[in-house]
Amino acid sequence: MTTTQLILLQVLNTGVTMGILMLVAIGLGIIYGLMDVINLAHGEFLMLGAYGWVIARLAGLDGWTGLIVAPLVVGLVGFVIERSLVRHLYRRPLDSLLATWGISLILVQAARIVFGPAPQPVPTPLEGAVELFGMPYGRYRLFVLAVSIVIISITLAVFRYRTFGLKTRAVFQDAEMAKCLGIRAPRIYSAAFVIGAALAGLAGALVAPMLTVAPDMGANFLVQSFLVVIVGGAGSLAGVVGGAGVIGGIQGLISYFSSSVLAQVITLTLAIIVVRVRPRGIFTRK
Amino acid sequence: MTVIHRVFGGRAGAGAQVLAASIVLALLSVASGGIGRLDQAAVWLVLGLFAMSLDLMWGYGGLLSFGQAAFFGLGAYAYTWLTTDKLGMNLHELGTVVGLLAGIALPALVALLLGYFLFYGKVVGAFFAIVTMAVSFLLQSLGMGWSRVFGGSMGISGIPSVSLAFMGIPGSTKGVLAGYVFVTVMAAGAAVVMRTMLSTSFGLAVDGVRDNEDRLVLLGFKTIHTKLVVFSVASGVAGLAGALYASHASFVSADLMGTLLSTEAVVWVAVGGRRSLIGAFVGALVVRAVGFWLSDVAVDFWLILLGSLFIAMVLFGSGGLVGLARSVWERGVRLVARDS
Amino acid sequence: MLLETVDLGVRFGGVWALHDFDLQVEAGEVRGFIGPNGSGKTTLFNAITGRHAPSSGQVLFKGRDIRKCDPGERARLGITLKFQITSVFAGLSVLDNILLGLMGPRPVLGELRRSARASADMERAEELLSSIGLWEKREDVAGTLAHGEKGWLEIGVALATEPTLLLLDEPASGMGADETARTVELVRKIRVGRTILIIEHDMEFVRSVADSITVLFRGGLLTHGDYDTIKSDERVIDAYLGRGRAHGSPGS
Repeated sequence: MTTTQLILLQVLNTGVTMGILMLVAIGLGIIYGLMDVINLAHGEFLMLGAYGWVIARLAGLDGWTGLIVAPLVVGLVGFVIERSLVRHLYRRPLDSLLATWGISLILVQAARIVFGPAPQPVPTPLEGAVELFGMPYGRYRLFVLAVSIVIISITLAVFRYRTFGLKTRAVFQDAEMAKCLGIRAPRIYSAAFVIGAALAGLAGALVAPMLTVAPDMGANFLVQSFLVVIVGGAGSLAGVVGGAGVIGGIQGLISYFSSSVLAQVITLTLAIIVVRVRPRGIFTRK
Repeated sequence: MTVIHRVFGGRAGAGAQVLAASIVLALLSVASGGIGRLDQAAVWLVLGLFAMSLDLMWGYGGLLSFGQAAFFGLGAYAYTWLTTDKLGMNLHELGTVVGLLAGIALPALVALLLGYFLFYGKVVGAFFAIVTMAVSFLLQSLGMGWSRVFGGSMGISGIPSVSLAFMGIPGSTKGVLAGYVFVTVMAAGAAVVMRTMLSTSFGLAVDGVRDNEDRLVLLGFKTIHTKLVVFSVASGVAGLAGALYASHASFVSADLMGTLLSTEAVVWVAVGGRRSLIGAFVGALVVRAVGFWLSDVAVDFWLILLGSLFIAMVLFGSGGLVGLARSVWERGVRLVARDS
Repeated sequence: MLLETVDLGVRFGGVWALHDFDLQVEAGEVRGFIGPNGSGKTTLFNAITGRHAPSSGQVLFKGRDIRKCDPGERARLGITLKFQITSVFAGLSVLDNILLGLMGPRPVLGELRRSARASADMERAEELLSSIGLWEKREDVAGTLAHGEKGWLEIGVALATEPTLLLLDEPASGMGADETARTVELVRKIRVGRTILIIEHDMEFVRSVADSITVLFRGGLLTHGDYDTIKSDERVIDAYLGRGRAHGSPGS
């Protein structure tokens, strides 16, 4: 394998990491930016999404259904949690943090009881590899890369160009003012929460065949999403996407040379140093 | 009343309260499971000490740390590294005492360094909580993977208990009763130190930071220094608890630095009542005891109960056990007053 | 000269909230600042206390340029502000509020050696609390005080930092006639040995306490003088009644 090919391979792998990270972090970032709610159960949305395959298989459904089922089911779970609990906690970041941690513990333990504590493999729906620049590359990974690019683009476009996005940004800027304009903020909040949950669920379904599925798999992604928000700032979608790019990129780069845990430790250290220099994240203008 | 006030009030009173709680726990343990159960109870005392350190941070300083176990675990490892052959730094008997001190110093220094970046970076409130949580989570992951230093998934066992023999004090803290007494004394001592700190004019500054930090800054106060001291002392106390854990359990693993222990401590403090050192101490004992009892009955539901406690404490937010006791007491006083 | 601003300007986006502002305040002066809403009074105060960084010009305190100092450093130099919206330590006792003010400029670590009720601090606190009339209420939680009392407490906290220069932003806002009268009395009492700058809409209040008055208009200096001069100045009347643009260019 030539050096160019190695670099290309690395770029593609990093792209996959970034894509997944963006899908997870967008929800966390929107929810925090909109309603000052820090959702510590966000990682569990990903975990539930990953179990979408297992559920689909148990239900006798085949092939791709897991990928469709996951975001729908997780979106529904998100809706229930938002309506029953989170709506009491708008603008109370610390309380939301404590309460959603409780949800997180409950969801993890529920998954353990239902699916068992052991990690389970999920078969890849797309076998084999394609020839890319003269080297073989996993077809499923390529698929994940494409799906995440498409979904993130759609999300950004919706928030940029549709009235829903306009209203959301209005609430983002000034919730009181938006209310005066007749925008029903609670609806926006609910919708944003459900979309965020569904995206995390989709991310979970996408990563599952590349990893194993386990009840406590969410924590890792949650912490990575935090790093994204710390580096990128939670003020805007662009910040979240930019942050995910940086964190995913650094991790891709470092984990090529050593373990991914060390990559995360180094990233956190960098993020803490960055915070000293740019308290509001490097992508947020002061 | 005056006798009670004299014993349990003031600076030394914090120690007396811890002492009293330990004696009650010892009696209950021995009554329910014989002298051997003190072994388990001593671990709870260690966790009670750990809970007090979080209360200093969160209850008094208004800094919610969601990663306090990082410092507990570092203290445990500092003790372990100086008393075992893991890193080739075994100081044997001397190590058990130096290890206790290192167990305080290492986490305190790490907190000072971390706090320097976070506090000057204006990381407060919920962001402080998630950064500390990330630190705890990643230390745990690092510990799991780096077995040469942290023992990996197997942990490190065979850690000796604190021995005072070379100082001319006979015996070690290895025996069930000796271990229990030793932990009690250390916890009471730490409580006195924290209470003393809070009763100085620095303690008032801590109140001010919690109440209205921005105003304090505008009065010319260097609140960052206040927070650094609180973070550092609290982490040192957490580290002491960790070192005591290592000495008592003679086993450490990466979980001791992890998020589950970090967040469980938050529940202890909330249950016991924030801004009450003894409340946090008792909170840990009570929650752990309930968990211990539940593990016989329905081990699967323990985490679900813990999760529900988090939700309950937000929805019905209260003063915890201490607040409950206080309101029951006041209601009682009112009833008595009405009758007479 | 205790305080001087030279060509001071503060810009928010494209708008100069304050521009080309030259101010001279002598030690021991009590100066009133008036002007219509949006004329730049609070912006001026914020530039002096360091809450806003000036976009141009200088702020000199005792001849030293303090542009680079943050609000905390300025407080330690002796510049303290009482906010327009009262901001006390609502969860702490009245006495603790004052004790925190006393601690303000001191190094933090030294406090570890001092008892929370150190006798020297307590004496000073009693003095201050008596002068603002809250000694009897020293154990009350500050958040439960009446509006006027909170205002006085805040003045007390500001005084506790031993300021050379005290800035009061609308000290009588929201107060009734009785409370306002007591505030006038208080300001007269505390001016001894201090320099005080006051923003206030109540002209009677300003007349009662200030040696001279500076009038701001549209971010610039309109005029300066004693009460009678100001009262009869055409430009001031125009500015308040909004009869077109004032004649004098800022800084004249």
